Amino acid sequence: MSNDKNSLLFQMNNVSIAYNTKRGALKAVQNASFSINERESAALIGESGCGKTTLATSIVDALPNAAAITSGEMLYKAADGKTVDLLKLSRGQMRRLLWDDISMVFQASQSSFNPVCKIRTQFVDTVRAHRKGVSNKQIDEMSRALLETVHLDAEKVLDSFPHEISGGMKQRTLIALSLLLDPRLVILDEPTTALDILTQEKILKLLRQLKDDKGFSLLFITHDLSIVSELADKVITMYAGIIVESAPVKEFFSNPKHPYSSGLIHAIPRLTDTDDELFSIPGNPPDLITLRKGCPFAPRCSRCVPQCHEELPPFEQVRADHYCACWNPVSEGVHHG
Amino acid sequence: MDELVRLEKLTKAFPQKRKQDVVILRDIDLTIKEGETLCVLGESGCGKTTLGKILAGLSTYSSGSYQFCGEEVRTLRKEKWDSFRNHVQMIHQNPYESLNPAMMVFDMIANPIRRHKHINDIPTLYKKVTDLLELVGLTPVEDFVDKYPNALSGGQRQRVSIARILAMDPKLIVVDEATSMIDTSLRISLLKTLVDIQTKLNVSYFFITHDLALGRYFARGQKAMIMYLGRIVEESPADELISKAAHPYTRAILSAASGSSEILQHSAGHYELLEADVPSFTALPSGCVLHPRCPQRIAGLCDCIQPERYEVSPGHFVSCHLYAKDRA
Repeated sequence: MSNDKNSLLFQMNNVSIAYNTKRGALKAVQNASFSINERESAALIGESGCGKTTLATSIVDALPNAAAITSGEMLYKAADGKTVDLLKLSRGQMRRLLWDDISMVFQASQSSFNPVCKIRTQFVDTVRAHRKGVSNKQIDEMSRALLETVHLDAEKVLDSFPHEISGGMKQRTLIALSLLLDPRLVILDEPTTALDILTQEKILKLLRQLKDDKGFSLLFITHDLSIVSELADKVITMYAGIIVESAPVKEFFSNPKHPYSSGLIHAIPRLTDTDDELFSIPGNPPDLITLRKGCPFAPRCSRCVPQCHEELPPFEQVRADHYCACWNPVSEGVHHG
Repeated sequence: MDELVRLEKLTKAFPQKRKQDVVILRDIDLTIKEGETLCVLGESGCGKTTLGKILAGLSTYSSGSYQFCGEEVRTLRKEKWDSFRNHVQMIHQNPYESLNPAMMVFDMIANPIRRHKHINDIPTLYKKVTDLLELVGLTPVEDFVDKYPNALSGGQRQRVSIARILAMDPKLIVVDEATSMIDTSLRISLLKTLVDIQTKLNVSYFFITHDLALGRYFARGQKAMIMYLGRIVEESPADELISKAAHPYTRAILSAASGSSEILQHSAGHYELLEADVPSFTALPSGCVLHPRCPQRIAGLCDCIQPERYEVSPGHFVSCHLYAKDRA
């Protein structure tokens, strides 16, 4: 594995995903393009229903039956240096890649474990499915080592059923399970929702440390900006199925270009800043089936220009590593969009 | 301002089969004045929702006293009980489950008026319903009266439940995590609506949340308290609670919430609890419930005696031995 932080690991080009619904095609993701470098941690943020979970599950080929990827490519640079398009792989090839190279921790991790199997069985099954000729003892050692890195009592956890351990422990066990085969890209869907604040802090710290130790890349979905500020190197903002901005984390907070990103940052109460007036973004998210032409954010946007109602803005580079899709981006120094 | 709610030594225990009762709330003392907001902060499972339910009359209490407008709630009967139930209303957490999907917005708000105020005349009802919808910011009103909940977004649904509650002219509204299911970009406007309603109608809020920053924002200039394992550990004006947190537990959750990141927030100093799991309600530690996790515990004191409430500055109470008068 190369230690170069700037070598590209995963790239998504113009991916569109649609759900087949009674009312017609629901365009959950439209022309999404982003990339993740090795050892980079990217945060995918946006409101509920903006397509962020759909986008992430499409990478691991776990979309619901009603959804289909209608266009685009997902390029993944495998460990041997070859670049493959995940969408063109056969089922068998994909199965080998999943969990070995790309693993995912789903939302509602509280119910991701099989309730009738002990945790040990679930670790053993995972290894057995991917590696041949590994003895039970070796698997046991691997799982133990991992569970200890996530600060769990391996002895106790391995012999427990999922209902016997607490939510925070389950979440940490799942993180351990997702790292079992040394993946190079780990996708986490809402890694800390449903956990209390002290456990959340613990898990974030752990993820940061594991990422540095093991050198994997992270793609995590959240709607909590404080988690973003702690864990991400890069922030990808989605709105109504469109990636509207992708920026390095510092720049995202200090100099957001898209009015939606800027609005989000100013809609969140902070603990330490005093007397900062907060702003909501007026209006409601659009219906993804009956999308109008132009920018989907235009009806709620304070910086809207006539062009916004006519044409979808292109996803363009505004500075190094900073991309934004907006006709009238927020200029530097101006706050609240 | 008149006192609306007074709790004294309120305790709630759930009986168990063949086992000792599980005590969820212990010795809760608090007062809420008319037109005042009290914000309750705490982790999941600390008893804050149970306390909210007791205040709303949806649950009973085991011992202690709960006075509403000077009358003991336990002794209320018939008309008095009915009027108490009308005066205390609750906004539930999940607006996707708390509205009847088969009912139009108009009926949802009009039914309580029909039932409790005996107004059946449609023009008067319509006037009342539209006034309420306007108050909660669902305008233009004509667009909303004949909608079913499935056509509304989370924020709009929550506004409908607020309008429905306001139809009863409540004095106290228990707001249980009412914004946690709503998109970030819409939360603030909902909170602002709640504040507007408070200024217009002089209602009191019992605001339950686990989000410290949100609680601080909503309770600016008002009171806030922190709960841990069924007890109030700290109570103070909201701003002081954040800037001058005194209890070790408060300091730990503040430190965790503000995080270690330099980008978004500047941590007010790092403070961590000892590594230990949250004790279960069935086996609470002796003495101060925090002592197994507290880095500042005093051996021989914290693990034996439950600390009293000490006043560290006007209106700022802490239940911790560190602030005992004779020690300071």
